[in-house]
Amino acid sequence: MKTNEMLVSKIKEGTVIDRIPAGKALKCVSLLKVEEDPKTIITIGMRVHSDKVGMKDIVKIHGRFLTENEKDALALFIPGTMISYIEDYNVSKKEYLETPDEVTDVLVCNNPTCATNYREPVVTKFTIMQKEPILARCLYCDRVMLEKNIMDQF
Amino acid sequence: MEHLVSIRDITKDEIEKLINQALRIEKNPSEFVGRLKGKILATLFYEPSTRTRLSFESAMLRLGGNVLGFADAKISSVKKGESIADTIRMAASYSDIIVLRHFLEGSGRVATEFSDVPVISGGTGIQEHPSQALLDVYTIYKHFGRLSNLKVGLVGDLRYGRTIPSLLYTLAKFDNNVVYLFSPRELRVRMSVMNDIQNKLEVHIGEDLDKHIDKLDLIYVTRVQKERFPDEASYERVKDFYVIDKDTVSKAKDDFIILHPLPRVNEIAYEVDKTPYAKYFEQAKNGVWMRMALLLTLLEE
Ligand SMILES: [Zn+2]
Repeated sequence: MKTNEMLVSKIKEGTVIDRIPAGKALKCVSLLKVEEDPKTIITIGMRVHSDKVGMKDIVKIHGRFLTENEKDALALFIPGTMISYIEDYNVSKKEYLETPDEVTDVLVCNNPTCATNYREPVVTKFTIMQKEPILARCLYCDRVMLEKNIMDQF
Repeated sequence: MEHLVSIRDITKDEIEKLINQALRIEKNPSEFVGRLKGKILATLFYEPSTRTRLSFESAMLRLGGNVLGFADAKISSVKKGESIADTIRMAASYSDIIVLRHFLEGSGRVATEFSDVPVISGGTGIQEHPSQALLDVYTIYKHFGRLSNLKVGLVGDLRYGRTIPSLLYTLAKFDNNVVYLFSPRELRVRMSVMNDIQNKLEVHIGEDLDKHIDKLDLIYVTRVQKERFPDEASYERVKDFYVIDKDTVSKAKDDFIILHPLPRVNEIAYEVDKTPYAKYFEQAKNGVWMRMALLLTLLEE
């Protein structure tokens, strides 16, 4: 067993979010709002050495899998992240996250006169018009958000 | 067609059908009296707009229907902070169709999510004003007999004028249309709208209207709205950027026309009103026929 694997203990069941750019693990956890759930155990490894990507962060969420929305959010803010699903200490599925075509309930519209910024019982929806650099368009007000405005929300 | 909050949601075919219906109604209005008897239109105007509201109400009354609503958000429940969603749910239970004018972009989409009756946008923020675009192209069709192969100049505030995106989206559905966008630099068409019409319209951007007017079939002039500017000075700089007068149109083609969604301020001189080019008053009149067609289509199909 390599040293870096011992740093972050194995989990029985849950999700491993790997190859998070070094230093972004805490933001990643807050994005998924997992820290708000008092029953979920989270293991965080920061600045772990990896032969493939150099320095990286790693987050392990015990006993819980990610929803589609959460995956979209991760994919939007930290594309290239790798997710592994763990069942009975084994990796049952691996997934590389790619920037999604549409995100629901992930972004806040930066148009101050967009109806979604008022007390309306709706969830935001954005289409990703362009991936490099990212351009997202609000499906309610049609405002286009630039990558900088999007990353500011991470 | 279930609702009409954006021209992007409807097809070329649906636009042609609406035009044909409006033509039939205009030709023989008496035939349509009573067609919507017993139906109620709710006009929810969170922002004053006499023209749009009255023309929808007139359209409904001519079809034999009834009208209720509010024309000023100050006296409605909006003042008490009620959401669009709740107001729409209430209005949908009191009426058969809703026209919504709201100062927020996206308000039309929100409304469609909470209404079980058709919602028509009467203008949402700076976003769109689809029924205006329909009456605009109805006017164009009546004059030229076609909505394709047209060279159209859009003049004035192309950035905040809500009729502009709707008109561009409509023209983009027909073949071989060319648009010339004339505006001060700070009032150019928004990026999202440019993106939507990309590859669907031939677009020319410039400031010099006089240089191009001889090749245009029509110009669509919009007012520069003071409230869109942060300060007096930036408004002063652009407010009279374009003033269309007899001299401007002296080089125009014979069948050239001028459209304007009205109200106008200084952008078209009164002397132009008497020329054969001035179509904006007829355009306003066409609003009733097109809105009758729209109400009928949404309620009878
Ligand atoms: Zn928005």
